[in-house]
Amino acid sequence: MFNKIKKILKSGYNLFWQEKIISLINIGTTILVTFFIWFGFLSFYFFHQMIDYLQQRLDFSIYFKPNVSREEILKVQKILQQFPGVSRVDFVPQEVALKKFQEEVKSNPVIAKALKELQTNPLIDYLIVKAENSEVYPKVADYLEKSPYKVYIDYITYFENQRVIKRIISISNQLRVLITVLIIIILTFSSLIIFDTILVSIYSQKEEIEVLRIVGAGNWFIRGPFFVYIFIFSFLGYIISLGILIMFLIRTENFWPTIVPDFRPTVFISENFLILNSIAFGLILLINFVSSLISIEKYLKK
Amino acid sequence: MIALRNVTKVYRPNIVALDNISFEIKAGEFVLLIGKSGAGKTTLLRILRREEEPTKGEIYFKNKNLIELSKSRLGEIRRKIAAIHQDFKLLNKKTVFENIALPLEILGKSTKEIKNEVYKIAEKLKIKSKLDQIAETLSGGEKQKVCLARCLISKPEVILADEPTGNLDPIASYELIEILREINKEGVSIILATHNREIVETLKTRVLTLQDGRLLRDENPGKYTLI
Repeated sequence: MFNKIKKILKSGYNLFWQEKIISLINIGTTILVTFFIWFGFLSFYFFHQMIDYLQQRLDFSIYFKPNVSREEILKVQKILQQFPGVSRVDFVPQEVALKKFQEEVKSNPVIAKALKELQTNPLIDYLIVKAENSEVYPKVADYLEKSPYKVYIDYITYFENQRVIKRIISISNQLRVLITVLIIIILTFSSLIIFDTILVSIYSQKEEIEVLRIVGAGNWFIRGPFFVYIFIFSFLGYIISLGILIMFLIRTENFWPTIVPDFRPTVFISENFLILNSIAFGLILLINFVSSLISIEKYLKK
Repeated sequence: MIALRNVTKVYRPNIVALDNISFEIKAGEFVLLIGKSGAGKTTLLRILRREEEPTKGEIYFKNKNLIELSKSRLGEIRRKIAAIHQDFKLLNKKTVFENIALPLEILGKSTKEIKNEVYKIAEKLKIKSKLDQIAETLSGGEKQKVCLARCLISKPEVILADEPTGNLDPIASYELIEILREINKEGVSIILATHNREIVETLKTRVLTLQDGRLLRDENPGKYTLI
């Protein structure tokens, strides 16, 4: 058994060197397919980070009518803290709100002067709600709309910018679907290219396959070297493309956060190195092995 | 040892390659299979090694129905029923040693064992000096000897020879037939397909004549061997 395995491994290795040009084409195709797979991973990560970023920017503030007491506001804060999906509810008293506003308009002398001339604080107490995701905000807003506290509330800023944010999130989701479809199409075509190159590799060995069958080789003895060969070029192609990709991402490391601040591909890859590589390399091997199985089967039927 | 019962092979759309063939071959027999091109000789030999499936009929090897045999056991049968061909079917880019060693490598034999066996067979067939040569650089006669050595290394019980002298000059043909006679004397059954009249006349052994896929004649059926 050990001798048989040794022979299969050696034949696969020899096949790689025997058909140098075909091996190079196979490596090239694998590099291309690996890039497509990683493009898929990174674009998903990109949209995830972009949506996350937009959600963080989502401003959900509840402003109360001037006659509502602070106790009532704190009561609403407590209730909202218990609301499913809400991560934080901050109370901003009118004094703090004024201070913040003064800071913001410091560079605008007209507004700063107008604020000084006013003897009273024109701002009101409010609550800032932070949720785990954007889907929670409409639920909170809906809850407040139907609750007895509705009469306390002057307005909610969420309603002002929700349409814009919803639109951006919807575009991101549509882009995500589009990219998924695009990757499936690209992977299908890449599989066909791989299938063709493997078919050529096997065709170039058809005489050897015939001889092996004549001398009584079993199907696995014939398939085995091709699997070893496929593993060699898949591994080499994968390592080369991963190397190029990582080098490219390291060189452009500072560029990506200028598009979306939290989009850091190198961090994403290093944090998920094992799982991402297992999926990508697994997918490459699956495409290559299935292609070779289909191609070789016609020579094994007899 | 080998028995065919009503074997028919029809290729699509409706080409009858073999038509209801039945015969028996005993252990140690030397049988000639003759007939014009297209008579069905090659198809018959391929069916005997189950390289093709018959459309109808049964093939027995040592009382085992080859048609019912699982694909995983075909390798074993093909080592017992070995074959040599007119176009040699060698791995042309490999050495003579590698070609002869192939059946033993399939069996997973050790390097030492393979070396011993290959040298033994090569010496018997007088090709020991050619072992390191690349197969494609050999003459036709030498190539056919390598094929024969590759067959013999797996100790077959039957050798099917499909026009083995087709690409050889008369001297090489004579030499090959002599070797086959020697092998037959050692107890290996041989079925030799040929349309070379000289071989038929020289061997004076059992002759099966095929015509348009049918078994036309079975001459000297009692003459089992050349011994």
